[in-house]
Amino acid sequence: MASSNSDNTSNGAPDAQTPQASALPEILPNPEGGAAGISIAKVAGRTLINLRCEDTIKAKLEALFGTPLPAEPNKVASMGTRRAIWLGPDETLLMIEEEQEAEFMLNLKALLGTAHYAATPVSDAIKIFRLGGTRRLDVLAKGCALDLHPASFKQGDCAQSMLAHAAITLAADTPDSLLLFCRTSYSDYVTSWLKDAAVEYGYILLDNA
Amino acid sequence: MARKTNIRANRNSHQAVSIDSHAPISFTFDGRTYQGCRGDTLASALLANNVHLTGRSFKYHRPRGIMAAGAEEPNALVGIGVGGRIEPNIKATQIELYDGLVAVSQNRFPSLKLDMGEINSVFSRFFPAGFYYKTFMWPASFWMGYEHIIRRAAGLGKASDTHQDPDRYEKRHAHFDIVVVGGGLAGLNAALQAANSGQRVLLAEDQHQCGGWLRSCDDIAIDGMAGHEWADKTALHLAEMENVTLLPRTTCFGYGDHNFLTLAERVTDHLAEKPAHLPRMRLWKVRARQVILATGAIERPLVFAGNDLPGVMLASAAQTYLNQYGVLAGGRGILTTNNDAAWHSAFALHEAGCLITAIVDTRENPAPAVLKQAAALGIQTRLGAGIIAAHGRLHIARVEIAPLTKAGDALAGEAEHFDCDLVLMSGGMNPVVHLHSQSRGKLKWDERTYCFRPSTSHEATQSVGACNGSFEPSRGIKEASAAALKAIKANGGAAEALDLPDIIARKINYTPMPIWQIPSGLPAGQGGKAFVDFQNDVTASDIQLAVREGYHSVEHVKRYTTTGMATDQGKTSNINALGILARERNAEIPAVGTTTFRMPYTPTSIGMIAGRDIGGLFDPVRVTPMDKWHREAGAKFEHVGQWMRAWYYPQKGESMEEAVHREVRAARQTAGLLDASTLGKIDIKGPDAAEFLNRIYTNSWLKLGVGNCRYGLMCKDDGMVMDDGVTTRLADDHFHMTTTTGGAAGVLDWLEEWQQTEWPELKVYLTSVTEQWAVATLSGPAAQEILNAAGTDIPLNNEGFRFMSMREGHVSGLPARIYRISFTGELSYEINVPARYGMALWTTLMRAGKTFGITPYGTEAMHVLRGEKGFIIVGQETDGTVTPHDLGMSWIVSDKKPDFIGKRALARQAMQANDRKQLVGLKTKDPKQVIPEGAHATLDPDQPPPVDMLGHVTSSYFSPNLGHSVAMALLRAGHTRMGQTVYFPMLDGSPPIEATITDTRFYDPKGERLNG
Repeated sequence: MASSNSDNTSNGAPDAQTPQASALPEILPNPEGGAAGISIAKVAGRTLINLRCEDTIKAKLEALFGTPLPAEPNKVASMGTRRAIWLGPDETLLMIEEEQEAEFMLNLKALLGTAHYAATPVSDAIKIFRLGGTRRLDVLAKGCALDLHPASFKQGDCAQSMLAHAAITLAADTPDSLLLFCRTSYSDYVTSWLKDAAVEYGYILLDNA
Repeated sequence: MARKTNIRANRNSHQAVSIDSHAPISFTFDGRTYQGCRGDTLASALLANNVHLTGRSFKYHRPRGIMAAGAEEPNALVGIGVGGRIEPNIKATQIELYDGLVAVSQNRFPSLKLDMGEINSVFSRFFPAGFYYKTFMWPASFWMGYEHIIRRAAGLGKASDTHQDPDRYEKRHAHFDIVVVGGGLAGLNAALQAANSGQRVLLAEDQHQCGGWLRSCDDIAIDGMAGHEWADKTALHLAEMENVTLLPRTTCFGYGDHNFLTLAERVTDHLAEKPAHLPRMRLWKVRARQVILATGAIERPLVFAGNDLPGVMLASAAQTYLNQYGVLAGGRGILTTNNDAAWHSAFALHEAGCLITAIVDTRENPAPAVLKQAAALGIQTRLGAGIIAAHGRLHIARVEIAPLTKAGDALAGEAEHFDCDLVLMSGGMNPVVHLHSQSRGKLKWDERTYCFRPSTSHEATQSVGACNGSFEPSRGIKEASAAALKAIKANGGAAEALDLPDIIARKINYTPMPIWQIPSGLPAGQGGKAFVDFQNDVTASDIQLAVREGYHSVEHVKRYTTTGMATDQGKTSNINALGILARERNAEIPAVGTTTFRMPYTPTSIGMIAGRDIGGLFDPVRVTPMDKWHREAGAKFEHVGQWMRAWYYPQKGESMEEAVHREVRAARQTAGLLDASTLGKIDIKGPDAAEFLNRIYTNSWLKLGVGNCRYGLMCKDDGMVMDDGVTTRLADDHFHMTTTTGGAAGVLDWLEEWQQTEWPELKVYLTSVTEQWAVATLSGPAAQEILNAAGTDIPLNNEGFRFMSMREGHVSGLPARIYRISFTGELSYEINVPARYGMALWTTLMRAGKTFGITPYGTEAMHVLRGEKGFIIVGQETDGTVTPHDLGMSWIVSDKKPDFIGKRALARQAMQANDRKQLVGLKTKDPKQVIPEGAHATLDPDQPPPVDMLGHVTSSYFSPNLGHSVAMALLRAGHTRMGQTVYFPMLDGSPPIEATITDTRFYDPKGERLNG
């Protein structure tokens, strides 16, 4: 029993909660009146596919996806609810409606045949949030070092960065909202962090957006 | 606007531009209640109440009062707040008064007026520079005792030691095109011009109102308005502009590489009721494309005996207290100066009702204008003279004034005595070059104004106005405007040059006489103390002593005497210290050089730097999809990297040992269930995937059949074991790799690096799928029955589903991949489902296994189970110095492959030496004894020190399945020592533990249990 590197046993009580489980409520009205400064919505019903391939393969997918996949760094291509998010020179994150996943993957396989690519489902590995509200950028600025001012981070831009201690991907999705992607295991931390960061502006948690 | 005096105050019916005299508020200082006004600083409010004595000095416990009016204050350090809000060593000049403020003086016992520590002053002859270095050298063994005494004497105020800080602190990043630091005349002009371009502009002002010196002087008119009115109007205009962020109460305290600035915004410190939703302070982490520094200047004190008495004040500070706060710091004053500018401060005080009985100037020929004005006001002057000593006990009462030689280095006549309750002093101006210097900008000595001013910059930064040595207002605004236009252009923008405001200001010659110490007429070290560094109690004679003892470099003198090393960073002392050092060395000041300013410009709250990264948000906690179940089952957790993993599941009244033994037994007798979701998982795809693995791992991968699994060990290029895990071939060109929990991210980076930089010709794509899959490991003789009971379409019989293979199908309707691999040595299934089904899988298995006695087990039982089998854990049996051969795993190192990472290193002679530390098993003589992990082995327990050590224990447990303890150790030449007896001396003095070296496979060495 000599191997013990934990310090969370001293009190003898069961670890009923993770340390970050926030005591903050689901909704915090704007303390200065008006609408909550930020809305935090989990985006459900989407499939995420991590696509790795070269530009020539990307070009072949235009018809299947509905719009050209972004070739320029840090750009998002949109087609209805679909998004293709540039992650690297040979890496793109595809976001499609969940019910279209099976068909999309079959078509993708048929289209690309034996070409060298990897299309890996990662819907369970990544959580998606949509952040709205007039103070969303002020909240993010507390943990993200990037310049997210609309003059600098324009609609259709995306970036990979840190939010406090969690790795995130951000996309300036609509004029009023951003998409935030993080690893599933960090999503509790990210939610707690966002709520805590929004204490001075008020926040609202939404189920789906 | 007359200031009403409803309190026993020496408020003056003078215009007070920074306070609201109709808003009286009360505060306490050392338990006594006083009245102040909204807008007051604690210092101005104390002076208004005739309180000058605010603390005792650091070393000699001398009575000290308010000397300055801003960030440069070295004396008036107080503790403020109560409970968790106690904060020590705050400058009274920087505390904005609020109703109910509680402040206390520091470094005194039992009281401020009667302080025991003052005895240090009597014995001060015995506390020279370098006192501690000289005294506590000998004997060396006494240091531990000395240290306690010194520690208690060190520091001034006391922090709250029992309360938690109740305030919130925020941090935020921000990006601006142009950042202007300082909202005085130059800063406001720079910001106005910069904002006119439409670029994003930040203006940070330390005080709660903009204006700087414009608020303190009454002789500058701008665009037909008083200077402070223009400042208020301009600040209001800027604040309303969309592209401008104006932050009052914000100190830029750090300036780093790439125009990265750190600013401390004091959000609620000035409020009596602090709104719960607002942070107390906000740390701004600003990235600026262009920076304009307009941080102003600080007046220098003069160095003369007794210059630290309460009532001795910088001339500009006295003028600030008068014009901003309507406070006269005294009724009978004397000015001692070496420049013209300070004369105007004295005139202002005289006209407001403080009788200036004499103006003492070290120069023989001040400007005719000031002489004329002094004569008109009836103020007598002493030219070519200085205050050679100041006297008084708790306050200045009398000064001695004597004529000086032309060079100012000796007395030239008899001294005369003047009574007074206020001495104004001015030794010239010091530009605030701190931020410029922090950003690696160079300084140059200015022979016109006798001060250091910025020269070359290292960053995209410009200094304007007084901080650039341009003390004349008209010159300052020209610089500011030009700097803003330059910054706009450098950012690729354009803007029309705004008309400069119309300034009417008195013409003043800012050239002081270079005099760094007023002679006392006595030999060095005799007579009263002439302070250079007030906060650290460094006198002129301390610096002389340091030079006599051989400390010539400015860096050495600084550290030996501690001048400039207090929390004020020598804002008032550095130049005087340099001047005295230069004089003692017969050198010029530029040749002596200066020290570099470091951040922070002013002391900064640690709470603000911690921000919200405290408590639950200190570090992310990663949890698995089954986390909730473990918590409800009362599991204890352990941190594995950022993951929290179930450690063991104690039942009511069970100790950790009992719980782990129960879990370990169940896994071998019935079945155990482990949440293994945290294992690293990497999807590897591409026509060259097998070749890629063949180079990464030490063993062969080309011929692994589809659907089969293989254990692999990977080395770094130095041949040392880096990670291990089981990798499965999903298709010809497709593999699923697992890594250790802690190694997952590092291994993916490692693989990417090799693929991208060394083997770009290999067609392989890597994708992390660690979190895509939840994993439940079902292990034990009943595993197959339980899995069948849960319902699966995968045939589980040993012939159809062999050990080290994978089948895809369903478990209880959930899509699943089952890997028949084992880390326990039992029949074992690692069931992977998409993470969203992790909880469903877990509860299904627990339900299905109930009648079979299924037992959830945690990471501790997992450790014991693999320990019984002698399976290694990377990071426990290895530490970056262990090769596969050392582990006795030569079987996994291919000698047929042309290459793999580490192959070359493993072929080197030293790697094959037979006296390397090698992994062995240990069986204690007393089967109940468990050797502590980390214990060192020796062959002879009675050998006198130094004892010859063989190596150490890496893993050690009591095995309830075997009824004896099991351990593994890395011992020198261990593989050749089978059967030898070794001893483990115990730190607690108990007898050494005796053990026999064995094979590491303790339980089921033939592996017969793998098939159930």
